[in-house]
Amino acid sequence: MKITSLLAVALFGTALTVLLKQNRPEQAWIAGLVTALLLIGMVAAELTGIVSAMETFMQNYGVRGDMLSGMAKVVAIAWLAQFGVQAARDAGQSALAAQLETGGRVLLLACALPSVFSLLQLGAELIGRAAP
Amino acid sequence: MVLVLVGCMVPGGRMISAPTETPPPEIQDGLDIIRSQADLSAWDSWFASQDAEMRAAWGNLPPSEYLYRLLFEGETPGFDGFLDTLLGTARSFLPSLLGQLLLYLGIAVLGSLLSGLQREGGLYQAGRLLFVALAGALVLSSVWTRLSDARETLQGVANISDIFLPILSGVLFLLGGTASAAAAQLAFTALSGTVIGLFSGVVFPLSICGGVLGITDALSSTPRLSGFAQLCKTACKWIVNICTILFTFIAGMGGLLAGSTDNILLKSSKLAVGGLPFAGALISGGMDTAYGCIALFRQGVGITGILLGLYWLLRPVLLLYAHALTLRAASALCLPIGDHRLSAVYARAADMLLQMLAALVAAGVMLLVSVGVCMGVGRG
Repeated sequence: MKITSLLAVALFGTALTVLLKQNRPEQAWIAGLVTALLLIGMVAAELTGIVSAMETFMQNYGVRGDMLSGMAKVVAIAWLAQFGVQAARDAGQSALAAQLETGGRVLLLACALPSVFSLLQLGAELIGRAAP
Repeated sequence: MVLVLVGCMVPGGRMISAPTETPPPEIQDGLDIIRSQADLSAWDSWFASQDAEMRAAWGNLPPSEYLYRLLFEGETPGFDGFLDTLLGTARSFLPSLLGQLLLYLGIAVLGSLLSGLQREGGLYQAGRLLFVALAGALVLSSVWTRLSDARETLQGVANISDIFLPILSGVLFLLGGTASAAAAQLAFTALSGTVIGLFSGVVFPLSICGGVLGITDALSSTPRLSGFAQLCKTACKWIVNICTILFTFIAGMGGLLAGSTDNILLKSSKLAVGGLPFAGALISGGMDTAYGCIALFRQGVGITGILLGLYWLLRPVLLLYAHALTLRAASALCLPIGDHRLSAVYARAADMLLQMLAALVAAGVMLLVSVGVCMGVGRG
């Protein structure tokens, strides 16, 4: 099962990080980072499957597919940026963490902006078409 | 027409060549004469132009054929098959709606992944806001088809009343119901012009405006536009209610008064004819049967018109209602698993569809009331 491998990787990574933290703190940080990346990689594959299944659904029911991929991107960017921010904070780089957080927000906005504009356009178009 | 009918209904009138033989006048003969004179071809051609689903739901019977079966064979295929049609229609779009419900719930599940982020950072708020905005855009694009359908159906009600008016008033003129024909003219013109114009020009834009404002408001944690959205909703409700009450009252009163006027005219003519020397009583007796045939034919045409309108409205109304219900269900189900803003987005979209549905149903009811009242359905 996927959850067992996920659990195994997480436990192994945690144990390794705890062991290394006493003598080699810089390596412990790298070990933690690698474990987290592995975990994200394992979950990302599942997330891709969910999104593609939902996109198939949307194609069947005549809903625009670009919205869903936009939503998945929003979730992914937020997760990854949060991960980066946490990693930077753990390493004691709070200024870097703040920059990364701002960067994450900018990327989120850039990713969702076309769809947000399309929401506004759709709303305006709906009202415009409904008007006599 | 009435005189021709009376001539045929007079005892012995049918058997001029054999006066000794006096068969009792049959209602079916009278109905047959009226049917041969009434022009229902426009109805049949309108029916032929409808899509295959609607014609299949009606049993592929042209309205004139349906009327024949209703009057002469006592069959009511529309009533018998109505429940089957209703279930069949519901079954035909159930898989699609279930798919949409799953999609809405899937979006809620996807959005719930964001709740794993830390609340303190700005990323959580930004991600959540943008996610719900995208979900709002997706919901609007998915209800877009339904909104277009609703507009087309409302326009279709106006077209139907334009098609029904000459047919029904033609039948009414033919049967001597001049006052009823004038009342029908008034009711159908008011429906296709004023009422439909008001609904498509005011109610629909207001409900869409309210829906879009409500969805936009749901994106924010502090409601600022909900007052406007609520105002639009209330205005729609009041306009639809007032229009329905006024129209039903005016059309109902007009129809009843016109029916009474026509009855008085027919009865006074019968009284005048009854006073004629020699043949007066004979003609007067025939007139009773003729009036019975007229009333029966009018009611038959009225019932056919009501059922035809009902079948035509069935699919778009059910589809709109089912979609609104799906959004409501998604709103309720995603509350425990997803963001409450997402639930509000679904609820506002459902409200928008329900307001349009109310206008559509009101227009449909007015059409059926016009047909029923003008044709004297249910009147003895």
